[in-house]
Amino acid sequence: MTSLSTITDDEKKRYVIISYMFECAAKLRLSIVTTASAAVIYHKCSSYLEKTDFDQYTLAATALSLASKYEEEHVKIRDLINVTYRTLYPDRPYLRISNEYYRLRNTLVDCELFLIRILGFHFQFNHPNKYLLHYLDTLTKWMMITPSTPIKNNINLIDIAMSILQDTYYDFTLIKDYSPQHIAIVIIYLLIKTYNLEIPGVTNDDEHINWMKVFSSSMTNDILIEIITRINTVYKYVERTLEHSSSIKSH
Amino acid sequence: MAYQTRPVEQARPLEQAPLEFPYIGDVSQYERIDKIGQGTFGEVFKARCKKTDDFVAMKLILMDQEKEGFPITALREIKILQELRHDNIVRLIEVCRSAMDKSSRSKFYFIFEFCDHDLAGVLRNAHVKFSLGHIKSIMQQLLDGLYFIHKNHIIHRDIKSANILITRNGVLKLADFGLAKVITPPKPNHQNRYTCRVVTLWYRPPELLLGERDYGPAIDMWGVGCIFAEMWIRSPIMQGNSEQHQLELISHLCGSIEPSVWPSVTKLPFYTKLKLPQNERRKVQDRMKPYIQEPLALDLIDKLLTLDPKLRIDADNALNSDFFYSEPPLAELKPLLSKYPSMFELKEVSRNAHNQQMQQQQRMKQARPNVPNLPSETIY
Repeated sequence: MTSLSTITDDEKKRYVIISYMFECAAKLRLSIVTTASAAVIYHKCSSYLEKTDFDQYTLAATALSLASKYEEEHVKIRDLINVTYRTLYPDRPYLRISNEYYRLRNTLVDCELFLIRILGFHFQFNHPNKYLLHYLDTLTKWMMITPSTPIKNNINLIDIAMSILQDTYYDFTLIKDYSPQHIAIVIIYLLIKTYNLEIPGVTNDDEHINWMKVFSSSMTNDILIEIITRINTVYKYVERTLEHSSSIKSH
Repeated sequence: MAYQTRPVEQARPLEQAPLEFPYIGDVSQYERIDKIGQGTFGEVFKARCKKTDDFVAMKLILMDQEKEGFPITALREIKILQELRHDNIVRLIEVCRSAMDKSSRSKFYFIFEFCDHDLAGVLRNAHVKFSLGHIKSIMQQLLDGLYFIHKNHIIHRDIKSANILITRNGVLKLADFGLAKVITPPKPNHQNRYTCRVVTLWYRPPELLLGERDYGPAIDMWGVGCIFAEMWIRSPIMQGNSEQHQLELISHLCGSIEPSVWPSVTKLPFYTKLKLPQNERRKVQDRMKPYIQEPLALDLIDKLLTLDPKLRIDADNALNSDFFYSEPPLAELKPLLSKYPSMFELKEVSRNAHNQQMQQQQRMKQARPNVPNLPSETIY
């Protein structure tokens, strides 16, 4: 297993692709769950195709297409091709219905069947989203945060939690090595630390594990530290990698 | 998780196996025996697994709309079948693919556990005689399966006797989730817009015929009512030949479709556009009494064939009905069914083709197009 505080070159390449997928997903107005599913499909397939020269952008577009179907947020293939094409080549003219369009469409359809086989028809992924929302809901009741408490313009709290969660999808390690319950708990912990929120009954740092264990009995301090380390590493490198790749693009 | 449990040798890089198809099973490990089903969805075959010698059912995934890539409906069916595990739901063993030939992409097949009979086939075979206990057992299993899928926010959308399979051990299995859909529970400010062109016409509930697009599990319960009556009548009870005709048949049996029995019907798109029979009295019980002697069964059928979907009985309440808790008790189906070879509608229909033609001609002579298919004499 690679160290949690370093990033391989392969992982850096994936950050660029995931960022590209998030951009396309936002343009296609896909929901966060569909976007997350697409990221998981991409990561899984990409790890099967490591050391091949399989085109990563094709893979990304296909993952978006499959996820949109699986999560019942169907996107027309024409829209999908247009958006993925324009995002990849912002300087080129719009893609007309042409031989090139049909070639791209054929590639996408073939690639869909290929990914379906790689995944063996198993698309389901237990996303941390629902755990995060439930835990947060339960915990704020326990904390008795009322509307008059400043941070209880609570929409922000949930939004921030969801943004952090969405960013974890950049990283395959976080997806494949940790349970969704643990990821959700750690994200809430990060919120608590960031905003200095008080939990009744928690007087020092070591006691945080108590409320975590209520949600997931398998949670430990080691797991907490591992996930936090990894999330911090991801944040550090994603930004750098993306800056680097966009500076290459603009040259 | 799936990617961790997959055998290592399947994860070969692409270029080492350019002409092979790794990752998922090859359909050639199954040997086709016989065609057992045919419908708009495609063909179903009985097959034998060469490794285990078990029988399976093999269904081709249709990929007509290749323009949009892998069909969302097939993906939906796979998702639903993978998530549902219940004794009364057909079990998906795996999804396989065929070898690719030069001209076309490889085909995908669903591999299901094999069931010996479908209910339509059993009902068409006049030699099979059900006792009241048998009927209770079949209906309870059907409702158990439906209760389970409805509880999981899934509606089947194609309930009919041909989609209900029965194993030789007498276990009923709900099959063909090709039209099934995950639904969102009703919200006050949100209207779902599902397609209303689902469910085989003869089993289609009045709200779908009138264009309702924000429907729920009640549409499956109507089908259960039709099948329930079919258990005695032995053929579909309302065989309309158009939406209009189907609504007429329903009105003749269940009374006129009007706001007094179904307040929200006026909001449905086709309510004013179609000509509906007026002044019809509800006569579900009267018409079925000659064939169904059990009053508790009549009562339950009456509740299932309720026009207003909001008032129609749901699977939970139907299961709690006195019908299942009165004498005679439920009877095992195994001793009855294991006597017979496979019975499928496809086969029984061709076997009875001559018979049916005769019946058809008779029906034409009698010229009673607007009367529900309640035969003038009991069939057995």
